[in-house]
Amino acid sequence: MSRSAFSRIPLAPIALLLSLALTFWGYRIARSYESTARQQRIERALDGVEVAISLRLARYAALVRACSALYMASETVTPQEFRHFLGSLDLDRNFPGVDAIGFVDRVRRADGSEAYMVASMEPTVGETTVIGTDLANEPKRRSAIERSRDTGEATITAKTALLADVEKRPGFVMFVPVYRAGAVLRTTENRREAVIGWIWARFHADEVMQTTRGPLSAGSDFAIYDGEEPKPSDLLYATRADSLSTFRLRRTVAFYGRPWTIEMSAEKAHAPADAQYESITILIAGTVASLLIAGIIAVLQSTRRRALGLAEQRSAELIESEARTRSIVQHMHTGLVTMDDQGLLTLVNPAAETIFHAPARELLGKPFATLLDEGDREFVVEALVERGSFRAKGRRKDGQPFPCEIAFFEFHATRGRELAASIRDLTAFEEVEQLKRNFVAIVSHELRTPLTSIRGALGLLAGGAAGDLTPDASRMVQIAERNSLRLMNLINDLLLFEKIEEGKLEMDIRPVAIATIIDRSLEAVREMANHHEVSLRVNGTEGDALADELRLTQVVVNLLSNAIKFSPRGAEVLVTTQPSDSSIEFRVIDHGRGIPAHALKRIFEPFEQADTSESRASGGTGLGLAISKAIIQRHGGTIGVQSEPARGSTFWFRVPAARALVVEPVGGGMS
Amino acid sequence: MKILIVDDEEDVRAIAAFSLSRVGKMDVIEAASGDEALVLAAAEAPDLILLDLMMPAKDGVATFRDLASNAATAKIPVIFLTASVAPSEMQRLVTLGALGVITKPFNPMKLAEEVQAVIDGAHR
Repeated sequence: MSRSAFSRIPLAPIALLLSLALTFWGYRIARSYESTARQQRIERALDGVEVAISLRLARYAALVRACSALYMASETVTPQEFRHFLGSLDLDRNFPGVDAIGFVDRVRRADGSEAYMVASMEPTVGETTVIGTDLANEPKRRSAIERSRDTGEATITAKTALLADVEKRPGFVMFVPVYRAGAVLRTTENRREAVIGWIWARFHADEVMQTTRGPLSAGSDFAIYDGEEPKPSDLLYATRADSLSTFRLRRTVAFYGRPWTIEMSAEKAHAPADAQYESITILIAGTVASLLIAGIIAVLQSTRRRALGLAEQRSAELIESEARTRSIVQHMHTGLVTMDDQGLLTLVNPAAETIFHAPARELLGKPFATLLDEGDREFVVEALVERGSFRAKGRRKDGQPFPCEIAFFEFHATRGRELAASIRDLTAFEEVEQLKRNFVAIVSHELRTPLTSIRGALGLLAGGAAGDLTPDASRMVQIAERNSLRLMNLINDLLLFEKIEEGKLEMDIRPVAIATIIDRSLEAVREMANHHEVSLRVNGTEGDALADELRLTQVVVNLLSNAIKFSPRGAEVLVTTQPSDSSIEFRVIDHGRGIPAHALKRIFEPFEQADTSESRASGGTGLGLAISKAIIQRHGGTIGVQSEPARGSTFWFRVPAARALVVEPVGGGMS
Repeated sequence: MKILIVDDEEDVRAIAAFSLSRVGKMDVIEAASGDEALVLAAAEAPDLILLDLMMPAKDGVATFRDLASNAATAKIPVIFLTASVAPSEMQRLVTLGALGVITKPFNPMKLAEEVQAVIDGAHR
């Protein structure tokens, strides 16, 4: 079964049904247990009632027998004696429930029939009508009387209203026979013959039962019927007028010849409080738990569905992203290779195949170094460690070396950090570079050569070597000469800058007297200073610098030219040098209009001037300071400027000092 | 003093000649190529040769070697004229046996002075 099919199974309803079924099963078991327990409780209560009634009736029987014994022991028992006898027994206290007790006399009528005459009754208060009643005319009493006569046992009547009881409360009468003293009582016939009367005792059922409800039956509702069926007409006693409970337990017990039916009703109040709600608790708790479980399962299933959906979506996105990345790698123009931690190639893209003239399958698994010209391998391994980008000589499949640029970079992959290299074939680029160099060489020679002639010719004219010129002609020649000089400077600066850019500026560094540098610089700018009517002053020329005389002079000339150009007429430009232990500091101070703060930052950048319009006005190329900076840096020195608008500027630089102990010129062939 | 100027550029040659003769009051002879210079140097025996470095066919260095290999011209001092200012290049030329190097472009009014300075410097 697929995962998505699994997630479509309606687990929540199934779980709910199962759980509810389980709950209901548990409920049924608990109910059954409760029912059994209740029945047992009621049985016990019924036992209690039965025992209590038996004991009470036995007690009454004992009383009645005692009275019977009294009559049998004495020929005559006067009503007074009987009263005294009963009084000594304290009936109210010892035999509660006894309504009255007395003697029934057996009377033989003249017609041969027998009468059972009530002869005495104690207590007699208000009951005088009972005395003399013939009980033989009343079937229930007669039946009980004759049964006791025949068996010699105590008997009770069926349910009956007591004589002279206007309320007609249910009651019964107990009889015990009194036989003639000394009579043989072996057979029924003997007994019939020997009986002389009966002791009777009568009872209101409710009074008997109310005093009988002892601890065993306490709290239970029950009803007692005369007979074997609980007929309402036979009801002797009920603890409650209404019998509400649906659950009843019934038992028929014979008491002194009469079957009595005891019916116990079960009431909730009779069950312990905790057991009573057990099944309901199980049902409710089980149902709630079922709903919760179903809910949780539904939520989990829905979450799982969503997660699976999301995973599928992500997976699709990933596949698309992977395809996209692969496509980029396949189509990019830069060669790309990746390698494992041993430096063995793990990926070679088509651009790399083109660069190395080799199909990927031939390169994969080979060391990265095979892509390089042998001379460069060691150096590349070092570069690889530093993860830089650099130029090297690559090697094509046929062994032909070619210039390339390689950039190593790390990337995060599932297996950890991996190394990659992007490779650019610089063959075409270097051809262009060569063309540029050639162009520069052509400019160098072809442009300067005619300019040299122009300048030379103008110089000779202006210098009067060709004879005196008219003032106008002289002025024109001067203009032409000045501009040819400017053009020459521009070309020279461009060529020099190109050399610096290529790192091909040669330096001849050796100890040079500061005085020499200053003298040559001043000489170079003197004419210009005169022209601008700016005076030059020098402060301090002691010491030697460790420098390329020509280049350092070029820097000082450059700074002086700028100072002169930007000084007002009549101003002074000051050159100071200050030797220290390790370096010489040169300062060129002017009182021109200064340089705005925003321009200061880029003043040493190529083609930068404080104001581009200055370029034309001042005849500068915008390269002078960039060249100066490069020259000073090549000396291992620093260059800088401080300037305040309207107050002037101070350009300074420091170059290493030549110590007195330095004998050997340093870096004569430095390049 | 008789000076031989060797330069393939006619204008440069003319200006240098003009400068040295008019300003420096020297006798000047001119050659437009290395080969012509070898012939003239042998024939005229100048006191000094101003030799351009970059020339087609036979360049300055080749011409210098040929001059040195010819007994008739071996002792004539040579000053190179060159646009190149690389110190190593200058050093190389001096090492070859040149008296000195004057860089182009030169100031025509001062060329004679520069030549004299190189001669003085070499003899010091």
